[in-house]
Amino acid sequence: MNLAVDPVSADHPTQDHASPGVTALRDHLRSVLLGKDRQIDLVIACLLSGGHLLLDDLPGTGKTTLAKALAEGVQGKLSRVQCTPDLMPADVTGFSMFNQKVREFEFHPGPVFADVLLADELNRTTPRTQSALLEAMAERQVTIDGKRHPLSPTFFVIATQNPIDSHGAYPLPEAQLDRFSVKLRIGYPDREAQRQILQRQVRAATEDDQPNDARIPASLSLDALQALQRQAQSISVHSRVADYMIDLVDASRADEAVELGVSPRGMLHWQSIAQAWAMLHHRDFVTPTDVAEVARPVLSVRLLTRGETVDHVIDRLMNTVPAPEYK
Amino acid sequence: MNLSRRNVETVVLAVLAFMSVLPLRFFFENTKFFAAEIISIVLLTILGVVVSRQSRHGRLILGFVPLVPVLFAVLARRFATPVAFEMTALTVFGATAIALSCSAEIRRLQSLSIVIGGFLTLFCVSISEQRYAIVVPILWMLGCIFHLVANHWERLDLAMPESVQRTWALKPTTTLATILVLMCGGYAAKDQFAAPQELSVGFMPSSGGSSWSDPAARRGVGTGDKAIATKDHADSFGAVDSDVFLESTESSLFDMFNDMIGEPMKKKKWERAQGMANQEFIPMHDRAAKSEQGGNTFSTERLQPKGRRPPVDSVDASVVQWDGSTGIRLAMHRYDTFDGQDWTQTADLANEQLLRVDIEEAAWFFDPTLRNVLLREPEATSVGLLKVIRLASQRLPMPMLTAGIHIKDIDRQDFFGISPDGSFFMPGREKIPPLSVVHAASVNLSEDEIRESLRVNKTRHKEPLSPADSVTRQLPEQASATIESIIRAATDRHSHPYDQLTACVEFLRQHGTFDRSSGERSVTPGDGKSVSALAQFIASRRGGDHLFATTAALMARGLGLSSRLVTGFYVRPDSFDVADGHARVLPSDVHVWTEVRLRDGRWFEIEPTPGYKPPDYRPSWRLRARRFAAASWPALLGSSSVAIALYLLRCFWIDHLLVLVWKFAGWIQPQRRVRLAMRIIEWRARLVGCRRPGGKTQRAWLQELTQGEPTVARAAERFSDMADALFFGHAPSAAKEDATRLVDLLRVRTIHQLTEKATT
Repeated sequence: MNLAVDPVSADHPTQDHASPGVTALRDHLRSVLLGKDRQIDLVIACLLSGGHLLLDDLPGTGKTTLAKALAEGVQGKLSRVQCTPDLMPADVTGFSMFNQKVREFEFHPGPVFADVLLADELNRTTPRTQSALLEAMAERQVTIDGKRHPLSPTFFVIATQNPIDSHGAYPLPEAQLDRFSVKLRIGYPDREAQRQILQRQVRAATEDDQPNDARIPASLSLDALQALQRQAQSISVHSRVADYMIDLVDASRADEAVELGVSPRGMLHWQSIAQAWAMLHHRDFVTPTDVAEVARPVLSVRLLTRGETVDHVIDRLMNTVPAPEYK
Repeated sequence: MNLSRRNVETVVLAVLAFMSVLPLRFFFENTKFFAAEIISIVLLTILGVVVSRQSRHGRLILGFVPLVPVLFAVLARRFATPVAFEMTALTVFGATAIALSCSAEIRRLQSLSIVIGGFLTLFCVSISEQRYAIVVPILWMLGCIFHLVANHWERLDLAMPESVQRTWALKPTTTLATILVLMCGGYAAKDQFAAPQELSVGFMPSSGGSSWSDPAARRGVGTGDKAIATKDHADSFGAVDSDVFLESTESSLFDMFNDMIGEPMKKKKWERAQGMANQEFIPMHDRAAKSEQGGNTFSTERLQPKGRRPPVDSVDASVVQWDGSTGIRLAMHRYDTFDGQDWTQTADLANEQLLRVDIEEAAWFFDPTLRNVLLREPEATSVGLLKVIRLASQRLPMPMLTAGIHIKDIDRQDFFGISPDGSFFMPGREKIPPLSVVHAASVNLSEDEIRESLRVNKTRHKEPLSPADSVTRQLPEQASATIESIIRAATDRHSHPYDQLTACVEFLRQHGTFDRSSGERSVTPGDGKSVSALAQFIASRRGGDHLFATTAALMARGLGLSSRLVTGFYVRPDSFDVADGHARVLPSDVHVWTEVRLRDGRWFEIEPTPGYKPPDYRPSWRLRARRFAAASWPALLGSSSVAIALYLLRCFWIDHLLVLVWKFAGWIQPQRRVRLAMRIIEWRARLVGCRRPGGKTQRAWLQELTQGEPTVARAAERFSDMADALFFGHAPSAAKEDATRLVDLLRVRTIHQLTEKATT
């Protein structure tokens, strides 16, 4: 499966009549993160599906920039946690403190009480802190001192992990990983994009006080985002497309090189992402191509292999399971 | 029942398996009862299928189908010809397979039906004596392979290495390969079924018995008669149980020839001998008469047969019984010298020493020269069994090139002898002991050997015994001219002596008329001169087999080959009685034919008489191929050129064919139309070696294929959008022009250019 093929809609960004907000968000992100159109589409799909994103990449490739731009794009609140070994769960979720004046406990919300949470280098913190994020990600709520505190309905976690320098790191447990919808690698920008990045910095310095024209302002509100998320869930999935997905999931479980295949939860994530992907491409139904195009980021987060790389196993699965044909 | 392809295939296989039982029963049972049983099974099955569409009772009805044969077996035992138990069991198996295949919606039951059908088919062919019974299991296997490939080929496809891009389609290729393997296997095994292998002990419940043990027990394979005969005479292969027969007279070959083609004419030399003193004449006459009866002379001049026929008082009228291949000749006497009227034999029954070889504790006596051939090519041997019933001769009727003989429990060397002409005999006896079973191992001769040997023979030397002119000189001028003209025609047309010989033999076979009654010498009224039977035959081409054989021998000599006349018996191809397990050779089967000598001293038969099966000298594959190529090289060249041209131009003509198909597809429904469009594009892509991997979606594949050409890419995108909406979305119909445009754009050449561009 050649995932390098640009999606069709990439050529027609302005034809998005159904969701102009999405187009605006996409344009905004593209103006911030140059040369990464496909990754941006996947990030938006992940956001629209109501899932969470795991970025697995080298330092300095624009992870934080992307998170910031996203928060800005949906006009939401961004908070950031730098995960270190001494980070405690309360540092993430928040804590109650006794207020002498009013003589009662006061809740001090943690960074999870934001619209976009950037958990940087998540694999460097202890499993205890990592699992504190579990409830927040899955339930969109935290329970502190027996009291439930709901999070933002559009709560979106962007966690990053550094594939190199694994010394002193705590690999994310499978249960944790399965809660992320997709895993992405942004990767280095191409030559043209790097030239633009350099020029942009020079321009920013010279035009000091001027507003930056290259950045397209965001126009998607949180409410609009929520509406779009609901709309994405209603995208129809034909029974043959669902069968195709089930075949792929079954094949992943039957593969000898796979220790842990795709769980039913993973399958649901996959369907949601495919629905969002279809919506991004102006369709109200999911095609087998949608399923195939989002397969790699969806599967790479939840396949545990032995003796073979995950990429290789995904290639094999996608090449061998027959795709539904026009018949 | 859901009539899917899978179900239909299972039903067809079950019916085929069921049909393999039918020939085993049809010829042995009461036809009406049998037909009623089969019709009941069919009707009950149809009823079951029809009812099962409406309610669950249909399955109950189908459940009764296997019981029908049992019911009919009981009825048949009471009211008609009993049905053998094993046949009922086999029919129950077949009916079960049909019932399962019709009722099964669970795949495992379908598989069970196929397994039962497979067992039934193979079992039936293993107990069948029909040569062509093998066709049923081959058909069944083909069907089964197709069924398996058609239903499981996706798994096969998955098992293929994913890194390899195949340009061939798996399903048809696998089916074709299997058909080829089956055909080759079938051809290789074909000859194994030529002669039914008799089973001395039956393995079926009621076979091996006789009517006293079970009224339905059959004669034939392992029948009771055979079991008893085997018990009493270990080597017996046929029952001879008539006392009348045992008392009937045994005639010699000489007598039989006299009966069948007439007695030899009285010779004039006896008239001349009247001048001799009586005491000298009588011993000489006795000697001559004895020598004639002993078979040292064979006259072509014979009187009309008197119409005497062998006595019909015997149950078994056979002279000898033969268990081996049929359509062959069993030689007794060989004559190598011809004086224009009589054939005589220079070699007498000199008892040449045979070579004793013990094979598996059996004492065989071999002709030393042929033994070497056997050692060289042990597979080129066939063994036949001969049982002498009533033949007053010490000579053994043996097939051509018999290398060795064996009689059970006889290991004395002096019991057997071989004359220099290769005839086996039993010295010091008036006749072969009746009912002795003689095993004869004969060497098979291939056409290649004959060709090789004759060619060298011709170039090295001419046989001093038989120069053409010395033979034909004794014939009337006209007759010798006719023979010479036939020989000349043969030599003009063919260069190889074997082809020339075959041409002469074929001339006789095609232009001659076999008629034993017309061999009598006639007197021409004009000059009063008598015309010999041979000359008359050459003129009229009508006569007995001895005249055909003599003419053929003369023709062979005319071609520079050594030839001789052979008398003996012909084993008719239809004489094999399957039930008795042997062929009957009757007195009327006496026959005369010709043998021609090879360089190494061996003699091979030719059959010039029409109506008798010529000997089968199998050419090797190489020779066959060469001959085929020589005979039909223009057709081969033409067809291979056409095939090559078709292959080279396949892109062109298949593309145009697909365009034509597309043009006629305007009236079909939108979904089928889009499917056809996609198929046409995929076929075209396949032609240029760009096959869509099974795991790739058609949209993604089209995108990748057309990315080099914006116009085509846009058309492909529109097509994909439309097709996606039609098949996976909510669109009720498709826009016709979208499909047409892409099919028009993506011609083979375009796809080729696009792939070329992508690779460069």
